Amino acid sequence: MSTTLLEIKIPAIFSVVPEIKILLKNINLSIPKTGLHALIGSSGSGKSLFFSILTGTKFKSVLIDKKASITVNDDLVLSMDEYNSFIKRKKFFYLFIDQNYNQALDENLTVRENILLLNKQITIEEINSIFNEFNLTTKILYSKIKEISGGQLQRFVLITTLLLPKTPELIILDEVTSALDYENEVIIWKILTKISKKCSIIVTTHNLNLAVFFANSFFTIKNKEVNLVFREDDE
Amino acid sequence: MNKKIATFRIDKIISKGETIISNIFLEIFDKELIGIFGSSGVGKTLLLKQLSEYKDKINFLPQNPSEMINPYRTIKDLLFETGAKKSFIEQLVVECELTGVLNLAFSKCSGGQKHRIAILRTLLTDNKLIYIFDEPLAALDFKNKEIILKLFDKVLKESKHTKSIIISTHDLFTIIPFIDKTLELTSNGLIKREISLFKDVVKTYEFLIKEPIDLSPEKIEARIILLNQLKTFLTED
Repeated sequence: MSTTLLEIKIPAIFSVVPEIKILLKNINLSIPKTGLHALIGSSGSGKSLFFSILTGTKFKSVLIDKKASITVNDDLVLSMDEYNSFIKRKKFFYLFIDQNYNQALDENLTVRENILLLNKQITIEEINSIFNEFNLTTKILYSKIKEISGGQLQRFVLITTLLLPKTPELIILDEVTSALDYENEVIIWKILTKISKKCSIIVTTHNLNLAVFFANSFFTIKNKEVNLVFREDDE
Repeated sequence: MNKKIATFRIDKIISKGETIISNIFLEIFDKELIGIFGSSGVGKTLLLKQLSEYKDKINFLPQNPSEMINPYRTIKDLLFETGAKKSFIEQLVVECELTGVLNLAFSKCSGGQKHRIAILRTLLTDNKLIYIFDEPLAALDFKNKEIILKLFDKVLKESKHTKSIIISTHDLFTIIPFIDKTLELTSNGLIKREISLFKDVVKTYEFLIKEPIDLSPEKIEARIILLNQLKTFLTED
């Protein structure tokens, strides 16, 4: 069975206004089907551009080299245009989560009602078992989103990814841990480690100290290039 | 060894009728940077507040310090009114990467800049023996943390006066290269912990994660090397 989710080959990405300028170049990366992958780079290094490519979001006045391709699940090679329409037709299921993600939840409804909005078929047993797995008390099911604590909300946001009718193939997390204290951040990394056994997760973070012990691979983004600098050997 | 500048003995600290901490014994030496860590709720802030009662010796900066600063004053005014030597202030402004904002009002600065300004201002008030900072590294990114730790280091080394700094923090990994003494606060006193970057990184990690580390020694070593590579990568800009 193949272990690669995405194989990304992009010779160059340009901006065209006000002048032609290279934004990212020589991208040649593979993203495995599972695991926790950290993307490290300072602000303004091109992380959001890279994510917009992965999520098929069109940037205005950005040109992608025609030779660019993304291979999905090993056998399906797509040009960038094909990849974007492939995503639109929901043939590849990703989630993008940043600090504003909890706005996607309805804060006046209870946690349970929000779960039912995401997945009508889910049973209370399934919800209980996932909450138990992630040490989240089922008491909060009947509290409104706006009444639960910040730490609980953050944990709930992450486990909603497993409460959907279909598990996403890729989850992108942009700086979700940056406002947390150390103890809550550790809890989040533990949750991500568990979720990453079922799908592939890309995270950006400033806290390298924790990331190095949790992530399975590391990409850096600097001087317009994205490089793999560390990948755990297969065990 | 540097000279001892203070000894604190506190039998117990009581809050809302309950004894929270007992048997505090703390010796402080000149030029020392002391880190106090411990689980959430053990009483770090309570202890620091208790120590700061000795106002003639101690300058205390609580958490979220920027709330106490007049937002309309310029950074230049805020720093130069401390009375510290002009050349020293100028040198530390460069160290804290604040040169570009000197003429701005405090309210116009970014969160990280505000934090650095509040800390720098406290350190420049040069008439105290001991400076205490409650969680000065909380909610900062890696670069801001390093700037602040280097500032502490520089002030201790270059100040001609007797001085030492105590900070409380959760972030053991970041402080290890800078700190002279690490003390763990428990409900029954302060326990000295010897922590050095390479040797004890696993212990530190296990303390934070509260689980044994699930990697072979070779893999741990590879990750510590990676950690240092990535830190260099982020600071080299």
